[in-house]
Amino acid sequence: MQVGTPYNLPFSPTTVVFGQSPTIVLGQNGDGIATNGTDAVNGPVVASFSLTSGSVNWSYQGTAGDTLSIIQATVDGGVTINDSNTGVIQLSSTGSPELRRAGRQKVHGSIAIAGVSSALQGAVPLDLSDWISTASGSASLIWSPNGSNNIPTLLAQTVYPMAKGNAQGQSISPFCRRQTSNCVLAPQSDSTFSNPFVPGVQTREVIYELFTLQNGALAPIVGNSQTKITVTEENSTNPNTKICDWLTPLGKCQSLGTYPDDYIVGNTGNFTVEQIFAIDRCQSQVFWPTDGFNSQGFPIQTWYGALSQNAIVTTNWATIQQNSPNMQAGATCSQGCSSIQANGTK
Amino acid sequence: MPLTVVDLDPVYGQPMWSLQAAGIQQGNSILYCYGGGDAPQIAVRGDGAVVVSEPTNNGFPPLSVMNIPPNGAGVSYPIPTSTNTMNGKAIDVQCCMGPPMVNVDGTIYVEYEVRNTVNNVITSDTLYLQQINVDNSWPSKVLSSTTQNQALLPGSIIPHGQGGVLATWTISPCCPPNPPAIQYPYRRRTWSLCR
Repeated sequence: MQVGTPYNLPFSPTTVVFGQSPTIVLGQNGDGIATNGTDAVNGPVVASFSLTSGSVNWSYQGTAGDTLSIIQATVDGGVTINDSNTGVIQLSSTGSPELRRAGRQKVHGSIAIAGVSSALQGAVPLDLSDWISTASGSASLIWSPNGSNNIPTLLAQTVYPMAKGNAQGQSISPFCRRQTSNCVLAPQSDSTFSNPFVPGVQTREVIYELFTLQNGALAPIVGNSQTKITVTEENSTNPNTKICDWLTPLGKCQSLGTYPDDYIVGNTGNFTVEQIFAIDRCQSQVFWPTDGFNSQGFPIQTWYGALSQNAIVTTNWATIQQNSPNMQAGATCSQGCSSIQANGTK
Repeated sequence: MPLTVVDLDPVYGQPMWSLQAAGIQQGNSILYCYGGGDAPQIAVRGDGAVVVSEPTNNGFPPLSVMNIPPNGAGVSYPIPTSTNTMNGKAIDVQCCMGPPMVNVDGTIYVEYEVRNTVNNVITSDTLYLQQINVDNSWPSKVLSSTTQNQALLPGSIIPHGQGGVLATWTISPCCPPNPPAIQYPYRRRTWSLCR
């Protein structure tokens, strides 16, 4: 083991209480985000600091008497915190409270507070739209879709994005961020067939499955039925298309273990939509195969991953286009992957 | 009733294993003594093994790993004791443990403190980082030490994303009720694993 140079965290409480130590998470850019929770004199602080130098990037100070707790570091570089007196606050990547969207401003008492959601006081996120609260004495769901009120629920892409590591509070990284799992998605099966309910319309059904990516090789993760795969869809070219926007309860698209997606125009006409996949609220790459040749000239397939993709759906066919796939990190897949390419080529 | 950590079957709710605190013999009865802030701290390894550390010397085992695959065995680890000397009479006591954490590779980390006092003055205090590897070896290293009448209270640990961990602790001037203030009592240190 090598030991780094110790340095101070940016908290100066006037008293120290046994058993109370700062809570730390890893932010999207790899910096630490910590809070001392309480400081009855100066007010508690949330601060972002460099892991290598200890220098403070920004800090946010609460009011004396408040208790601040970190809920999660978010994919936009910010952090979601809870203030015991006001509610949930989203701090930006520079530590400023995010302003609410027009028309969604909440009122705390008689005073409107920018960036604070008193409705989520003490609640924790369950998925991309629901938070769980026990404020009433029993567990209840609160509707707060990803991004509404400027409080995102996609986690930072780091190994410790939440206080106590994962959603279960097990002091370990989320399942897909562990060395032994390192999850991505890839199609397990991919088939096109005539839709029996809409004559003349083809349906492309892709079943996405959880894979582990180890040393450039994809392998299916079997028997993990608790892992929640979710999809958000944005920028549809057809406003009549039902998409997974997570802004309405019916718009949810999620599944455990595997995710079947039927690409079909229905009766609303052709459309193109951008898809973003997440595994347990962690944005995930989707790998698709590409035909090529190895150094001996034999045909091979190589899988490349991308964090988003466009689905182009027409009456007769559906095709997928990966957005900025990482062509520098190709992978092999010897079992469990469909060999059909994103554009539908067999 | 002794303080007990119980793992319940998720379907039937039946206890699968449990870990109990020991009591103190006081006259003809057993005293169970638990205060505020001394609830056991728990982490869960990816293979289902459960790490339990006890912050104080309330009778609960200081560090245990339960439900270890493949047969669900449990192990308690010996943590060095501290010495409390008062008017020339020395007693060995268990001092303080921090919360456990499991790194991305399955390695368990937890901090513990060895504090030696003489007539309520901390003559030496050493903070250790205990590691329990997936091969069941369990080396420890000194994080910090002092002879300045200060306590080095174990704190939280998180993975730093490059294979190693961040370890934090609190420097607490001795002794209540009116300890002198100290600026920046919370410290952290980066540990990297050499493999």
